[in-house]
Amino acid sequence: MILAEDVLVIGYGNPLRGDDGAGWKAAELLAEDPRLAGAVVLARHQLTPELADDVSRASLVVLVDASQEPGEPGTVSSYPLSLDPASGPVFSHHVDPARLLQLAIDLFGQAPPAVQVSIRVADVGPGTELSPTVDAAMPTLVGTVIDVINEHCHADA
Amino acid sequence: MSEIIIDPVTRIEGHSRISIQLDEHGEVVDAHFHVTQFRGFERISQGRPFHEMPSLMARICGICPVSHLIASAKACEEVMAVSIPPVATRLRRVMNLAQIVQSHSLSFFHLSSPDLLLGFDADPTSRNFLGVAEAAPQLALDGVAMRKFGQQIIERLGGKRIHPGWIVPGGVSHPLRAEQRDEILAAIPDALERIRRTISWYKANVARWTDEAAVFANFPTLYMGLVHDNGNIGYSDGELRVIDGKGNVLADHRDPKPYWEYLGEAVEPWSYLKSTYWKDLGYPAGLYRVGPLARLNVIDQFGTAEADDELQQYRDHLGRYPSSSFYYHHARLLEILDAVTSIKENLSHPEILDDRVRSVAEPNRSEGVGVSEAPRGTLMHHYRVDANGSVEWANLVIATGHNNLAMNKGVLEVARKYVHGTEIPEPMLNRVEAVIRCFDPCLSCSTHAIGEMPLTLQLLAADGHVLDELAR
Repeated sequence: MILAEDVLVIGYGNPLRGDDGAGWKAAELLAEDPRLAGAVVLARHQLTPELADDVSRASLVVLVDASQEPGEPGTVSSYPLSLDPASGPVFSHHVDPARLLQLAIDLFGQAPPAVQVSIRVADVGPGTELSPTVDAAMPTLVGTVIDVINEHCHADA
Repeated sequence: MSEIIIDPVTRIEGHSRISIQLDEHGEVVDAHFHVTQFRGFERISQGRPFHEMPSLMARICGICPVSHLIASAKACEEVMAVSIPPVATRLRRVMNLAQIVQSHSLSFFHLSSPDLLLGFDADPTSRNFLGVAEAAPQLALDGVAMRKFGQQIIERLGGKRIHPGWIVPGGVSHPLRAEQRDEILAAIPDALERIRRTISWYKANVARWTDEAAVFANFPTLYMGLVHDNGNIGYSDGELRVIDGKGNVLADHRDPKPYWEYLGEAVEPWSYLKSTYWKDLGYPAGLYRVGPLARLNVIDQFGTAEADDELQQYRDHLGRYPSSSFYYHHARLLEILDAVTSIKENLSHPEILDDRVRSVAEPNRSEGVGVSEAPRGTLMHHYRVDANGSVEWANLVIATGHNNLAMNKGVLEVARKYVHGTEIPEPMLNRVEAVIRCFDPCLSCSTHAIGEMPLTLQLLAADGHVLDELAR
């Protein structure tokens, strides 16, 4: 067990669109996982500006999402997030990860290190079930999040 | 004849486009606000057990699901022929007020404050909420905090901040616990401080927008809203009051449920959004407005001291019946102030922790109508059920539909002021959109669809070919 106090995990996506709900379902699993005692785990449809407050209070943020990048469905990847926002228009209802971090800095004066953990989707059609491929990869997704947090906590120790 | 198309309109809830018709001299002759998404919830609900309707109808919208929960539950209670326990009425009010706070905050801070703070002519790449956060962090911070305040109350009461299932036919599913009440009450002082600061900021800056206020859907219409017997604002309950632009009362203490007796619903081929009208004046002359501006025009007072003091200042400054839709923004802020105060008053009621929160019954009638005030205006749900309680027919009359005629007329008014010639300057584009934003239309409610909207504006010649185009 790791003591993950001050760690924030946000799993996000649309649980009504098949594999797009993988982040949401990962959050549900992580919230019950005894290995993450003390962490704050949130499930959200999207990243909203209001989350900047929670982000600014954390020592580490892990964002868990489904990805439509090319690749083998069910593949899990993780990478540190930078403050370079994605190109494209800025919306007012939700923000991309980099803009969420920037908002935390602008409004609350700080943003912690952040890591994105993504899983490649197979099917994002209407439905509440994950595809068999992504469902089978959920333990890997959850394990990757825990590894990221473990590494952070041990580095801080 | 040429045509300008703004497609879709940005920083509103849903998908739409605007078309502007030009004559051969490049002057505006007509304009339309088209809602291009399709809903279908009335059809989806057919065959469902009536008691499922609130949770099903709440899925119409992620911004104001509580309004649909309340109107739907009230329609179901008409079918059941029951009254709900008094504490359930009060608890529903708290959740509805919280939704008004979070929805109005989204409209004012996230969607409209970029124009108000940075200017309608500002660079569109920074004219957004992130631009507000950079230029005026306190304003953005207050917006984030106010929205979170409302969302957290909804989450505390209903278990989740979007689509809570707590409001059910007959009342609410479980009573309020003392610790829930105390957590909400503890957050009230901070919320009051933030909305007071925002109202002060707005009043100090309102003179900057005089030109826009003069032409942003500024014309006399009827106004409609729910009012309590004592003249106080009725967000979740009350009877209908309708006045004209001079304050003459067309209807008062009127049961809002038989809406078909006083409202007509017209359908135009260029929009999926129905246009409702006041039947006595016919279509389209019977245009009226609902929502914050209309509510402040029809009520005598809010019923909370501080908000009433602000309301008096508002009326002293703008007149008793302001007609410019620009003042929806100001009205929205005053409703937030009133809502925060009213949440405190409702939660301080001695019986708020009563555990008798739900009436139970089978269907006893074949038809029911439920009416409530959504953040954007009056909301009506109407169901017919068979002997087993299965929904046979449903009709929804949505705030954005009530405002549809006024929004269309407002687009025309602004286009005539700012559009001249065959090229499309971006500030013109933004102002045409901004008049729509004043109403804070919820197209997801009025038609139902997902999310966000890049914008394309096209100028079309009489033969349909594109003369000019802007996109973002």
